[in-house]
Amino acid sequence: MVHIDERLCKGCRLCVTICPKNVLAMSQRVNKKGYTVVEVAHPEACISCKLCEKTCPDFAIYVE
Amino acid sequence: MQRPNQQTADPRRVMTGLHFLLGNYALVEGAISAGCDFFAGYPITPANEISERMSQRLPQVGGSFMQGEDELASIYACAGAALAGAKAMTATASAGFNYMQEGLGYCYTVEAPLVVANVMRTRGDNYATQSDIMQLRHGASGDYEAIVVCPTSVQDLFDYTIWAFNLAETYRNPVIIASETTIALMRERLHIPAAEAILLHNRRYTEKTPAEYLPFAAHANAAPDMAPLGKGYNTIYSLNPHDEAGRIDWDPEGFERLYKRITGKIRENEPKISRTQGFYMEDAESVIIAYGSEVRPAREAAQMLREEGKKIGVLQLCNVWPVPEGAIAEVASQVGHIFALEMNLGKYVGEIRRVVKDRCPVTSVTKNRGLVHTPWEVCAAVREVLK
Amino acid sequence: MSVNVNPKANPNAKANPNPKANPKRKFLREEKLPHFFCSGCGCGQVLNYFTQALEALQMDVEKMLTIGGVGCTARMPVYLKSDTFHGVHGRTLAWATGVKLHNSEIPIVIFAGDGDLVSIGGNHFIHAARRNLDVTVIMVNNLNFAMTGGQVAPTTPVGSVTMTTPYGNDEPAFDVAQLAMAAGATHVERWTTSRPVQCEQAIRRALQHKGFSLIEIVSQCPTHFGRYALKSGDPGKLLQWIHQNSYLLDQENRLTAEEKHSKLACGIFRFQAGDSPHLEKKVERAHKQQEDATPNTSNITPNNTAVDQISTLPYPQRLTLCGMGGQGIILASVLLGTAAVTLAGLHAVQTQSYGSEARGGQCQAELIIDREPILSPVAQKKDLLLAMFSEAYHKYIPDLKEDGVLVYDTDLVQPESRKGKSYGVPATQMAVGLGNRMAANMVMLGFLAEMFGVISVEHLEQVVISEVDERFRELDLNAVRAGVEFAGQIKAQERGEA
Repeated sequence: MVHIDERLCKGCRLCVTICPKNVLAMSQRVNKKGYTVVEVAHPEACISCKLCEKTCPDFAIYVE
Repeated sequence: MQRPNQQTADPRRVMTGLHFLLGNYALVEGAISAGCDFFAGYPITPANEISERMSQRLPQVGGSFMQGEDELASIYACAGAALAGAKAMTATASAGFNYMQEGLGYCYTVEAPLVVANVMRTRGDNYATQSDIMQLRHGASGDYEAIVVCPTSVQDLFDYTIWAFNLAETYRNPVIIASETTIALMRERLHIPAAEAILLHNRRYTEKTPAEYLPFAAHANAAPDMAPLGKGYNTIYSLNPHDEAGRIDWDPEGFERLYKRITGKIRENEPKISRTQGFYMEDAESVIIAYGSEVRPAREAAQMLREEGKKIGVLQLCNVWPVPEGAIAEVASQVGHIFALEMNLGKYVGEIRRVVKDRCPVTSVTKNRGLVHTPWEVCAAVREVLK
Repeated sequence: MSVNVNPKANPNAKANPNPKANPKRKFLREEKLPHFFCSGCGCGQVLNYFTQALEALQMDVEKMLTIGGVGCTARMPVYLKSDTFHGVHGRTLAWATGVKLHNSEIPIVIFAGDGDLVSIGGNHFIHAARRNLDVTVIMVNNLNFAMTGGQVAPTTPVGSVTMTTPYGNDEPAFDVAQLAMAAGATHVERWTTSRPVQCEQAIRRALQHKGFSLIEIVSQCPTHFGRYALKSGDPGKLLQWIHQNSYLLDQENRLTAEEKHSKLACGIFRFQAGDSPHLEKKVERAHKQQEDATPNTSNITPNNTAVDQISTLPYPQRLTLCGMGGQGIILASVLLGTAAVTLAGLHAVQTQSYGSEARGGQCQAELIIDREPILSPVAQKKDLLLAMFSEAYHKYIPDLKEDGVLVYDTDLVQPESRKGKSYGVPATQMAVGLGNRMAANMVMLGFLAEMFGVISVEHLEQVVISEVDERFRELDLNAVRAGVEFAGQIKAQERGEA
């Protein structure tokens, strides 16, 4: 399961870019810092490769 | 390995006895006796003998020596070692001291104990000078107070170096030894006492747990207690302004408090720090104020003038920074004239005038040609005014 | 690296109200998150890779010292839960050298940007590599000075537009990996932020390596370099650019020259395990010597009976010794001073000057000996002048009192007639006769001791034994005795004449 901490996300989209299975996409939500945050669009496609967790510059993702 | 707050010198380090020794070597022996266990320096005349002897002595007493690739490497290596617990020292001369200013600024701000030996000399041919006396105080940018001691002889180079280490440890402040090419390269009688007679002060380490410890909190204008590295205290030693917890996020109140305490710990302890020595002062009607190698001709001149019936005394400033305000003001209220003697174009006299205010006139007696004043020159300057 | 160019949004997706925290955050000062790095900055990624390495190795970050200078990359360690040095530009390795030498137990990791490490910090970089200092250096190379607004750096590719190269950079760039190796680093790798797995493995190797590790990670700067040089502020696009402008070292031979042109090679350049870092040897030696150290008992008790009785010169005695460089003038003055202070319990001050030539230039020493502490180290007029060379004699004779004493080497000085006493001593001749002209200074000292009692002969011999190198001791003692004998003859002659 992919956990996104929206407080820390800065909407850089690196996780979206690197995910091989189209699990993640940008949401419509804006956090308190003014960043449009990412969300788990297709959790069923996730293969737990953890590339999103490893790549995130902001420690905002945890793949359980 | 944390040293006790107070101790006597280690007899294995102290060359007790009577010596005829080079000034630069005496400074090294003072450092070794004081417990110095780290030195980093870069070759520069006339400080090279300090590095050379340190490279021999430090391994003998279990300390570390390195030659830095430049002066910046040297001062920052000393800063790192000091924060890691070492009693660290570097040595340089006027030109090299220029390169160390940022490093000194760092030590002032993170309150790293450090001793810097600076052998003042002219550019090129290394003649005598006291030109840098203001730079020793104001060289680095930012807010801080300097402690600068001024030895006058080979014996002083030994004694004042121990004093410098004690001050650095007590106040967690860099202390500069304003050596000069005259005394650094002179050989003179040196008496090194028994180790038990040499008293050392060492920095205090915190007894608090990491959760309770605030690295830059101190009791009313004192130095904070230190914490060892790598033991969970997780202290940020940053040049950036910081608060008591070491946080470097912009906080105007925190910064104001920080610099007030860093400068206050020296300013408010000035009477405890400052030392002066008086010669022929009991009934003096005028006084020569001098520091460093100029004290010697001042004393000889006073001797000669006394023989002529002039009631003149000499006030030696053992440290020039912080300014010994109390001692100078007191003398100024008791005498009719002050002569400020120095080997430059008249620099420290500004501080003397600031303190003296209108208590008595101050005459600046200067010489700026690579030579110390002769006693006759001093006499002539005094007679000129006191006739 | 495959790039997801077609992410499919899901209008039914919801936010997780209680997301579980990334456990690597335990290595960070969590109260400081979110960190100050720009959206998509490579620094954040490298920080993540670092914590992954710590986790994999089960290393305790609180036992480390992390160091950052000034800049974006330099801020990384401030977010780590460790002791940190920070805030001075370019000096991370100098700090580290001092800490390592004083206490080699503390693991040190340096986070340095390309500007901090190889522009201002260049000198310390090559020397730390030369010394194989046991530290891990993680250089986040974003190809510019980012924090100050995107100026050109020594790593900026040729042709790049930056804040200070508006017409395109015309200076070539460092290959920092090659530079590190040339300087002596034993572990050098380069990777890119687009290769998270390799980066983490590289950092792991570095943390375990004993010696200097440089891990260069080429990184995107979406705010500055990206926008000015690459015309894009999109982190994903920049990551792609980095990936495509780098290649794997172990694939090198499969690529054409054109494919490699202007691109950075990624891989393990060097990984020499097991070398003992030099500075640690020094520490070992220092600790060993401390164990061997014995108490210092240099207790010299002065014996000041001899001099007063035989010295014919009044106190203070003000001497100048002068001659040519290489004649041992300085040594002679030091021996006199040493004997006077440590054996006779007197006060003495010695100063000296010499020309910059090591040999053959002029050389002079002044010595004052007195019963009382001496204030002026330099006397206007001297009581005794020892001249061992003609030019020196001419230079210093004006300083000798009219009735002062002149002692000169008969072969090298032709003195003018004067009021005061002059003594010619064939010191060089005598020294040659004894086997070495260099002992002429000792002949002179013997003469001074016996003739005037500047110091006693007994003290002179003692000080020659304690201060002179073993190899020359016998020669020098014989020379001293020759000078003493010569003085004896002169004294006998003077008495005969009286």
